[in-house]
Amino acid sequence: MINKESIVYSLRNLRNRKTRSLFTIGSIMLGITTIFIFVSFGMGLYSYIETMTSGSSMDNVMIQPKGIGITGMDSSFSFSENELRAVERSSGVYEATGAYFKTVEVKKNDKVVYSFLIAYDPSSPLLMDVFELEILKGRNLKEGDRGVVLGYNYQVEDKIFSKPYSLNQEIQINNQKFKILGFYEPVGNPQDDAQIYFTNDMMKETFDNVSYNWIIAKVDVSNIDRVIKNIENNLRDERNLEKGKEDFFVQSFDDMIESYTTILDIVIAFIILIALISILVSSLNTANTMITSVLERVKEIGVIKSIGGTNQEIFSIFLFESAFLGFIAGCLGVFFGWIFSFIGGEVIKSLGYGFLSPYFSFWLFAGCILFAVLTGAISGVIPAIKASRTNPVETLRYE
Amino acid sequence: MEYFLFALRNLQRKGIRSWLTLLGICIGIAAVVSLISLGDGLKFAVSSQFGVSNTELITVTAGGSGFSAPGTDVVKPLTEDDLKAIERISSVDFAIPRNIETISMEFNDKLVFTSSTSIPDGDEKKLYEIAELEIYKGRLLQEGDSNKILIGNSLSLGSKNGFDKNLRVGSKVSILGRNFTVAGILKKQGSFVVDGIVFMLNSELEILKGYGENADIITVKVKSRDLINKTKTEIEKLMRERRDVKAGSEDFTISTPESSLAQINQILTAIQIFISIIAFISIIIGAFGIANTMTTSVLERRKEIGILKAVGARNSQIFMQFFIESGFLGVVGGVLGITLGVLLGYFGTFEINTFFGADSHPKINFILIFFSLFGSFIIGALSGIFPAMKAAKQNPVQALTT
Repeated sequence: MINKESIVYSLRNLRNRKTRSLFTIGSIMLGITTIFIFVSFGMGLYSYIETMTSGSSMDNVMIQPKGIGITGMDSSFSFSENELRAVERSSGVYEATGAYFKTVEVKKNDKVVYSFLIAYDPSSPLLMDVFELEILKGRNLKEGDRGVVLGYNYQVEDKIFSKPYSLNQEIQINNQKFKILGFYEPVGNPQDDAQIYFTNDMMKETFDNVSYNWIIAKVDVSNIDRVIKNIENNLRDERNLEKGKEDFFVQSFDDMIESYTTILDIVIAFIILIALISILVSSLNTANTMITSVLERVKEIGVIKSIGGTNQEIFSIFLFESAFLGFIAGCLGVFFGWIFSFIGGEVIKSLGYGFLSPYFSFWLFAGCILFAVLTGAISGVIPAIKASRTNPVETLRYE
Repeated sequence: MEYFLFALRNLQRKGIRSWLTLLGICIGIAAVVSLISLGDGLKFAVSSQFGVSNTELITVTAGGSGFSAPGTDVVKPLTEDDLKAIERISSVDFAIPRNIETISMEFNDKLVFTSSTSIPDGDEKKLYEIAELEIYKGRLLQEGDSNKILIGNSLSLGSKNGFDKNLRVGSKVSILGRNFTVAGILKKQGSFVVDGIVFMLNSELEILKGYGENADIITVKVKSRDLINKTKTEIEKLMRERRDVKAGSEDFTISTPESSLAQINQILTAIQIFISIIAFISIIIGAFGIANTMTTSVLERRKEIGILKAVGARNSQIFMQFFIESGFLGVVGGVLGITLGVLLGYFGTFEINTFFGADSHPKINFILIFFSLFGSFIIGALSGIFPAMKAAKQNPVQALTT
């Protein structure tokens, strides 16, 4: 398609028009850098979600009350002990357990903080399997425990309270004192890292009239739709509801994650779309540079043609030139993008939002460079066609 | 003037190249202008959801409500006594308790989840006044209206309410297992806080949800607008004493319509700025395009510059010529971009309004237009500085001999 001679010729041309080449490279590079940064953070978010879906949580089904606001977090409707048994009885369900959520007041030296409390059954920790939290210090909750396990941020200075908590200290929750048994590893966002974990038994003892906010069931995944139907039927009967008027919904963990991914898709697509505008502008610049280049070298093209250069050859020379500009810009863009997202990721992490970290893969680098080459090449097509169609006689006639 | 004619002629002569350069800057500016006006439209639509035309109101909520409606599910709820104490403050006109609860509502064999707000028994008119509720069909509720509800406008529409059937005055619905009759449908307010919910007397909602004498929110009407900040401070002091907390560690929030709106606006503005910055990158790239075109232009017109200098043109004149030419590229691109951007923003805002059901007309922001126009000239001119300096510094003798 293109021989060594033509390549050397194009490269020399680019060198001769240094300023112009630099401007063109600069404009594509800026666009690629922007896109690289957003894609790497977007992929980071996807991989964060993926780690949540991996492992043992895949065979879990969530049963949540309907309501308004954030799914399943509206405490207006909840489940009773009998309803939990009804879920457990459903065929295809191996194990079912209830969980409580509650906002509580944590007090330390006159400072009041509101935290989210999660209670689960330590003998059936399905919910915790979903969260996949590891203990950092101390130990996990056990049945019969009279203490709490806290999120990561409680043992960090100046995060929640100026003075951190440590193991075996007491923490004051809703004016009652509890012994701290352990701390979890960081989740990567300030809300989750400020959570407090209880056992279900202690929840019932500490607060009046509690009922389950969620039921989590471990089910036979090979026939998950069937199992979900069974749970729905049993729970409907237990709650005396007619079909179609359920005040709860049953969702596999997979579906739940999928709904998050859909939102994420839209947000990332929107941001990248805006970043693509800059690529569009830079491809206009490249086209411009190439058109000028063709006009300037009209005579040269005439000479090449008159000594036997084919249209094909002229076309490849110009196309190579613009694609090469794109390639250089892509390499630089990826390089700067990588540096910026790396630094940005570290800064965000230090602010406590560790889940928002960039994810780099070979395909991200290769894809961005390829995209830049394509941008260059596509913007160069029309000028290259124009160049290949020049009539040698006409171009050489004029002085 | 002469500069402009000269610049215009040169740009015309370079047909395609000028157009591509213009298009580049035009796209960038259009993106920024349309995104900013879309953001403004979004802000307007969102703030209209909170119905804040009544500026003499203060809301008190207990701290720590979870993910449910404001004030519900809190650790230490507000009480009837709190309300009475607040009403004793001299600048307070009146205060009413409000409870907001999630309810399930059955009609036409379908179950829908929504919120219900309480109307204080005996003080019905006060709520109608502060929430600016007006009747569309039927009548407002009065003391002793048991088993009767008022519904927001969009909740009555079969296309929006989820029941697939219009609710009418006299329709019978079942809320949390109890039967209610629709006594009235409210006028559309363009705010989901009113349009999509159910209103019933406090005594009725209390039977359904059993919150006793606690209140999720206490809404305070101040005697006059000038007293609002003074009253806010007084209520703060009072509530601190009543709840036994120190300044700085309050377990309650007191907000005025402005302050709650300011918070939302802050978030929306941050998003708007973030997106505009991304879009602004394309303007920078457009500026690269101008610089590129100008550099080429200078190289091509070396001889011309040499002749101009030879016949007595000064460096500053040559500089001005190229400077204005590139500024001109920026302005023309800017005008095209602004037109495109305003159009996009206009239609987008229209869509946003339809989506939120807000009753506003898309506005054209003239300050934004002025600044983008000015900005595009500056950007064009700045990108032309280096090429123009290069042109001005040329040695006429060399330019003419080569």
